[in-house]
Amino acid sequence: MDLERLSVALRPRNSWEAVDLGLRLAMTHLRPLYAAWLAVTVPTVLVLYLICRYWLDNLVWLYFFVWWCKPLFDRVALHVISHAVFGDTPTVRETLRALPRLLRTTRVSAGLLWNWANPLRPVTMAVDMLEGLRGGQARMRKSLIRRRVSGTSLLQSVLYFWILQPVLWMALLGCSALIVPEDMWPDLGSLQDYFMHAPMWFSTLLYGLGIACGLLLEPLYVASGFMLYIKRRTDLEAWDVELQFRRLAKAEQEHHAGTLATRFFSLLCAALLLATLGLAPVRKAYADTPTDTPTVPLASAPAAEREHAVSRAPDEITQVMKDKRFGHTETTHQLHWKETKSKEKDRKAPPWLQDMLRSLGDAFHGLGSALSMLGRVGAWILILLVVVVVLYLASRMGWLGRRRASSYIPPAELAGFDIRPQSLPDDIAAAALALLAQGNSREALSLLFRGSLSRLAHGEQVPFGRGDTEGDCLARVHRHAPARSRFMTRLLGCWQRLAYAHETIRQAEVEALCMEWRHEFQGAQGA
Amino acid sequence: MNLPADSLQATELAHQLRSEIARVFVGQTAVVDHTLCALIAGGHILLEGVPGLGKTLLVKALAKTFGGHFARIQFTPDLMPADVTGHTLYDARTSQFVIRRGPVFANLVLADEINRAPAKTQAALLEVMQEAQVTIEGKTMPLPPPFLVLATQNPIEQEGTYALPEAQLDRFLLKVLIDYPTLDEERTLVAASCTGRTGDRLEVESVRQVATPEQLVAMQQIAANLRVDEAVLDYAVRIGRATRESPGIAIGAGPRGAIAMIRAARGMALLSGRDFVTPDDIKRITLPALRHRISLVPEAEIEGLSIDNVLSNLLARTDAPRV
Repeated sequence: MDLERLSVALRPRNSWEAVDLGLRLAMTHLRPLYAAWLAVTVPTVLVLYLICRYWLDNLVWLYFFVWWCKPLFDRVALHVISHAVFGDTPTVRETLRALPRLLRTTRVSAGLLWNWANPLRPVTMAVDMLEGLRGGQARMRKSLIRRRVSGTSLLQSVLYFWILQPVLWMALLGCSALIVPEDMWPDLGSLQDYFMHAPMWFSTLLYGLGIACGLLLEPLYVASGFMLYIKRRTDLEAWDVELQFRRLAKAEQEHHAGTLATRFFSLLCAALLLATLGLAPVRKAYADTPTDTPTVPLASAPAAEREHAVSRAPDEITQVMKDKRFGHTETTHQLHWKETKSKEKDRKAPPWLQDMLRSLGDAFHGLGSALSMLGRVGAWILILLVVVVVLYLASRMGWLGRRRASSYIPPAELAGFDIRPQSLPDDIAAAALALLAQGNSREALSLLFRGSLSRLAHGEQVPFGRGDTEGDCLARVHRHAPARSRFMTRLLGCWQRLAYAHETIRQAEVEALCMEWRHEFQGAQGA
Repeated sequence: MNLPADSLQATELAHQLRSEIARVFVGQTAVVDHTLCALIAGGHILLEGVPGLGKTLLVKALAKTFGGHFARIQFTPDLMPADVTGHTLYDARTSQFVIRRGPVFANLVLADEINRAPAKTQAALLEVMQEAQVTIEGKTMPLPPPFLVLATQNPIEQEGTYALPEAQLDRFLLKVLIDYPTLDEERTLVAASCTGRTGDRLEVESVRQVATPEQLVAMQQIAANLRVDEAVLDYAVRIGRATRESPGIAIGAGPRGAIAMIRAARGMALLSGRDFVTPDDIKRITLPALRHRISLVPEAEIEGLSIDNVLSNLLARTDAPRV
């Protein structure tokens, strides 16, 4: 890596400036970047499409597979952009040729598996690809690189995948909805149906647009992440300073070869780089291309030579400083506000004022404490109110439906019938039989009907309404107490014939109903 | 064919009519039941639904089941009363005026899109429906019994229509909403309509005649005598009166509403195989019997409530009879 070949101006930048620079870089190298990117992604997507369309018969899988393969695709984009930043933009052919090596040496399997969901992927991927580190060293290096840029990288991921991509996707779908005839547009019930059970052409359109949006934005995302990586290395290793020194040294070398200044710059570079060695454990970029390793003077020199250079540095610096270009003293004049002790003394407040201010301060402190207490109380009241509102909404929306159902209170009267248990005799069947013995079969059946409604409403929580006819009652019993529906059908059949057809019900039939009533509601009576 | 002697035979006959109609008219059981109910009660039906749901087929099939005469009148803005009822014509050969009877002289009349004709033509038909007779040039002619009018309205095209006034709507026994069939019903319907047929002609050849007009008249007579208990009668009247007191209803149903409920409930009881009317019959028939007799207050309409919603709420609040 030759820093002098960098196509971007190095200077200390904040993270978002770096992201912006990444975008500009991608825009500058748009054609080679997207050519290589599409040359790899489009055939892959087409193959996956054929598999999902004809084998899996569901294009949801296509979207999932493409999403899953993104770390793999990202390596292609990073390969192009990382070469482009040093002025060595690869052609499509070169990228394709480099593809097997990228797949082999850049920890693709980790990227597709446990690192798949890493939102800092574009930053840390550069460590895998460009520095070639493994194991603990790689972990330490990634930890160092992502420090201070992790928030930006995370926000960038959110911005790309959760905001920009869905917005673009929805916009394209909206445009498609304008073009596709209304009759053709599938009329599916829920949003889930649109994604899962839509016709194949619609799924192709839906997921095709989604994938297209993803493929369009991904290189920009990678470029932004890579520039964050460059920014971080610039911060850590002072690349910008190094570059300036190199340029100065080069200029000096050209004009005054062998002068002290050159030596001075060389020494400064050496000192600086040696110092940065401690911060950056690995100085080797483009580890996969040994010929590209940075041309750093002395950094690759043997340890003894380095020791020697460092020990000589103070003397050489002193020598250099003797040079008239560096050793002279310049005097500059500048205006400053003059602050004298007397003024400070004058400004000092008198004791009575100080006491007053102190008491005022105490008063304000007390007021502040009271206000903070009030604030705390207010906050608790606010929390309580929020809880009450949530509970109220939950009850209104029926989220507490189950609890409400269990707390159903049966009405005391149902269409003129008093169905409270205390209004009924203890043994309803015996009372009905007694009425039957007196020849009051109508009252006997009425009592059985009333007793059944009471037992079902109070014992089994069947929610009868005041407007329920016999048929409605039966439907509710079918729904809420199906075990009683056979008996109730018989009882209500007899009751309807007696009440509305004015038929005479045989005594034996009513007696049988009384016996059966006892059998049916024996448990419920106890309850 | 013998005339039905009791309610059991009448029920059996009604079931035969229903199963014959089902040969060509797939699904829409509620519509068929309500149509038979109106036929048994001797009332008329206002059908509301979008075109193409089989209204004409239903009427043709029903007419064929009892060998009745079927006529269809397409109501248009230039339709005159004489086009419906008939008119006199000078016969030059006999030098006399002769009466040419209109399409209304039939057992079953389908008045298609009744709200497209002007008020005077609508009034002419509605008068015929009420009186079951036609007077032309002073000569009164009764219509052949049984006489049933099925009038249709399209709910989506209101441009250039003459809405039926409430007083005239009141003459219909039931207003039935005909909706799209279910998926299975539609599949069966399409399969049946496309197999071995050419053109758009409605085929009712497979429907057999199982009754005669005389038998239907006898069946109507039997239904008219089904027992209605006082409590059931009271229930119908209370529902009718409740429509006048409900805050969501601007104009409630008149006494004709309760009368319609009882008449239609008798038909419903006969179809259910009973010789007495229960509150369930009243409840089942309340919506079609009352929905065209009431108007909602503007506030309810603004809130998006439909007449059926309001009537259902009212039914839930009206005490059912417990005797």
